Amino acid sequence: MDRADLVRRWAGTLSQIMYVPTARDEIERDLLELLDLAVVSLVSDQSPGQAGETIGERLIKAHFTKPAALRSSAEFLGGALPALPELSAVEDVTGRVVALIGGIASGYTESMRMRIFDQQEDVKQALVRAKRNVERDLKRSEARFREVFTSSAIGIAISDLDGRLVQTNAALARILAYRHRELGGMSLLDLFDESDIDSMRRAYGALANGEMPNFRGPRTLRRRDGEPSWVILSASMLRDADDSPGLHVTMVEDVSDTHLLQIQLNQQALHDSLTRLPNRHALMSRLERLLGAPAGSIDFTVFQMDLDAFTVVNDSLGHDAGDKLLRVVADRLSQAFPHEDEGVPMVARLGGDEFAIIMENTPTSPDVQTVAATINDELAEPTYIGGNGVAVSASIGVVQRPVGIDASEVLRRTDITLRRVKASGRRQWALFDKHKDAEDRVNFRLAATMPGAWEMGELAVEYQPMVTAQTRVPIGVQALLRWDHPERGAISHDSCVEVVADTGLSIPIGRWMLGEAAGVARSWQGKVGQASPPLVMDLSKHLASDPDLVKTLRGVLHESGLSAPQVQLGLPVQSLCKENTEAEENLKTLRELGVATVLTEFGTTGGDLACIEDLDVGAVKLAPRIVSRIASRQERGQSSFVADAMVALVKLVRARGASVIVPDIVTEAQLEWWREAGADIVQGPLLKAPTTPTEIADFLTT
Amino acid sequence: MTDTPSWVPDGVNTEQPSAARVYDYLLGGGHNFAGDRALADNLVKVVPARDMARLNRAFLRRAVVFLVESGVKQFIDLGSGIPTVGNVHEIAQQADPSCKVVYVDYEPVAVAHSELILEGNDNATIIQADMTQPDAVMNDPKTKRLINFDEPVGLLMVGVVQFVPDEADPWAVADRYREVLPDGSYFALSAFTSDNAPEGMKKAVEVFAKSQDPIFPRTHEEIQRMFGDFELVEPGLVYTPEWRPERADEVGDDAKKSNLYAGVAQKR
Repeated sequence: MDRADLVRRWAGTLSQIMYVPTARDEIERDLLELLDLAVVSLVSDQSPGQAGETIGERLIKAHFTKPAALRSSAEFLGGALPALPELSAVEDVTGRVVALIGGIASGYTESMRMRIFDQQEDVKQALVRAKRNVERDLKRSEARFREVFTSSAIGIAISDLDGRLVQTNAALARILAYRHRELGGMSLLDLFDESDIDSMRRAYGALANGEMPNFRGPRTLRRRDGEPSWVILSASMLRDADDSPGLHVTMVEDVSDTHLLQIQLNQQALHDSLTRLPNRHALMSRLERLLGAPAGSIDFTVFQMDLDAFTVVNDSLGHDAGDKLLRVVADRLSQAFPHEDEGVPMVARLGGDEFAIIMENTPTSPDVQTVAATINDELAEPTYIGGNGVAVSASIGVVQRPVGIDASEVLRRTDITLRRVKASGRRQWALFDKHKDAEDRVNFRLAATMPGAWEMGELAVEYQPMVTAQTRVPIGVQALLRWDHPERGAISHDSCVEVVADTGLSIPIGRWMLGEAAGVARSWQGKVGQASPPLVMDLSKHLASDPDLVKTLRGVLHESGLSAPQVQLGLPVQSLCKENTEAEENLKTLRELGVATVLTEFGTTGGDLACIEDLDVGAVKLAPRIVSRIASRQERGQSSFVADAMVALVKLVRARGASVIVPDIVTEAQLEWWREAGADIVQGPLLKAPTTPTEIADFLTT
Repeated sequence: MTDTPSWVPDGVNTEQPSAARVYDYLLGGGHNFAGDRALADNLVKVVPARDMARLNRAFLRRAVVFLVESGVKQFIDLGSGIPTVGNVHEIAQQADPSCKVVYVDYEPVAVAHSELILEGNDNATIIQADMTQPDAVMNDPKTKRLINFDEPVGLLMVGVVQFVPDEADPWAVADRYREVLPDGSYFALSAFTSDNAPEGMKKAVEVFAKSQDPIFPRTHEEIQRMFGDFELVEPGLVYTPEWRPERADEVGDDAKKSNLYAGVAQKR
């Protein structure tokens, strides 16, 4: 066997014993060197022991570090070396081989000892480094934590299981308006609103015993000054290494600004900025909620009111005064009907000078009449604005126990009832009336379509003569309005006038009528001659107060060629006999022009009499509704206080030297009664129904 | 009382055996403690643990050499453990000094060891990461500094996946690594199996149950599945000594002792 064979076997043995990170060829090369070294030491005069030590060192260096590698190498070399032919001549070869192996053992052991020291040093260094790494990471994470903790905008509180604050950050102090150090030693629960403390104690307890891992939600905390602070709060549990509960971590995000902004926006959206009362929108949504409540659960009444003389205050004292008055009204209503933001009663401003109140009906709540009286009592107390004592009254529309309708229908009903109250001018409040409502709705629909109808030529002027009560001689012809409605047929003058009042077309339609009628009058005068009766026209309240009335009339006279004495104008008594009204100015100027004037709508109030005295009037025309009222009672054979009053009134008027004109005479009995009562002039279908320009001319000439 | 040497710093747990130090001891290393040695001694009574360690370590060397010869110049060694003898960077850089190696381990002492060994070596580094978090491993700045993911990578998961329980889904972990690796990359894997010695391995599982790193030996099929659609190079998934041995005639009964399957596969 040669050395190459030997080395292959040696390497094979060793690689069964342990892994070395070396390719097999390389191992064999290494081992061959060692074998050569051994052989050289054995054949020369060197000390085989020293060579052996080198071989032992190199075995360790080649990573053959297991003792088994030494043993098997010794066995292998001890058996194989003496048999090598190169060594056959060596003296005491066995002794020299033993010395060699002894050297190998010695070198191997010493190297191994040094290697273990090295490895121990490695291990120590690695452990120290590992610890340093851990500490470095810990320091870094602590530094990161501290940075987050101190600079966070989120308030952080760390508290122990008893609730004592262990650590807090500046943000928490800022959110709660404390000085930072003041928080030390406080209890976490001290920061909550009193009503929240019990539930919070339970929640933190649940964290500690693991019932829930964390909780989060909007909360109200109490600031140092007792004011609330709105936050999003989240809390969780820090556990120790052995998983037992350690500390609570509470984080609070300040949402006060957002919260306040929300409240403010809500306030703005649902409140009136002038009076701070809930606005129409808020009222509507409250109504919707009440109407949506289970049937019968809430029984309520809605009052809508409007200040009677608000425009007067606004116009005479200015808008600031008007605003002040509205605030006073709002305050008084709020005091009379104490209300909160939720629930009923509710007092709201609908806009302008309109307010509304929702009252719940309970066995003890006041009835509608009492509420209405309370409202007006409150408002009757004068308010001093810029030195002027202003007292106001309100007209009130009432809807009781609305069922099966929506909020906007409730307000429509209160609104229409309120308008009715104002139109009557006789009372302060009214309940919603279904039948009248239907009628009103028809009128409103007509009003809405009237401007179009006028444009389409559906409006026409008709003529009705007025005659002396005794002799039935025509002494005037009144121009009346007529609407040939495509669906409803002819609509009479009185209905037209009512509708026109709602359209804002009062003045233009009045002017148009005047011009139209003047042309017609001119033509019948041409036929009848000097004795022809004058053109009569009753002006609406608006037209009577129109500052341009005189100018309009002058234009009409000029166009038509009529002279002033051939025109007689009626002005509603309600627009006169007040301090310095425009209508009164008009009245005076008309008289100076030579136009005859009549007070129309006369007799509804006692004050009308004084008006005759003040204005030195030549004639009055009774209000049609007085005439029809007396007629209906007579038909039923009832006596009438109004009838008696009228007899007296006619006497008084005539005593002042003024004539009395009675419209709407339908029956002979009526004519007879009024003649008896002393009426001078009468008019109505009994005598002649309103007719066309041609027919009126024919009537006058026969 | 413990036999922890007084020079062992606080905060490092040397009492509980760690797989990395047991492996070191089985390979003849000295970077271990009494607890590790006691576990290894118990292990040796039930399975031929020294042979298993030796044969696995030898497979690692042959696999790295094979990859370098196949043109791979960069390696990621998952669960690299204590740097004992024949570390990947030593083997690879001996063949080609420009080879880059990233070691990955989560055990702080193993990481510290590696840092010491790698000081001054610009082409090798260690990151402390959990190998079951592929994205954390591959997105680590140190990984990105050394590894060019446009070039083939040698991913080494040698003798480590048996420490990953089924719940952590090692197949999905392998899937993710394979997905990110560029074409031409190789995946070298070896793992404990019970196929050869079910009884002994069952006892080994019990022995490891007391360590920081319990083991989960798997079947040939389960291990093969980890290669996914990569193509296994010859001879496929075999016992460690059977994988491209240097001296085929010497494999002998080593295969019966190895108890680890090994294979290398390539992304095409």
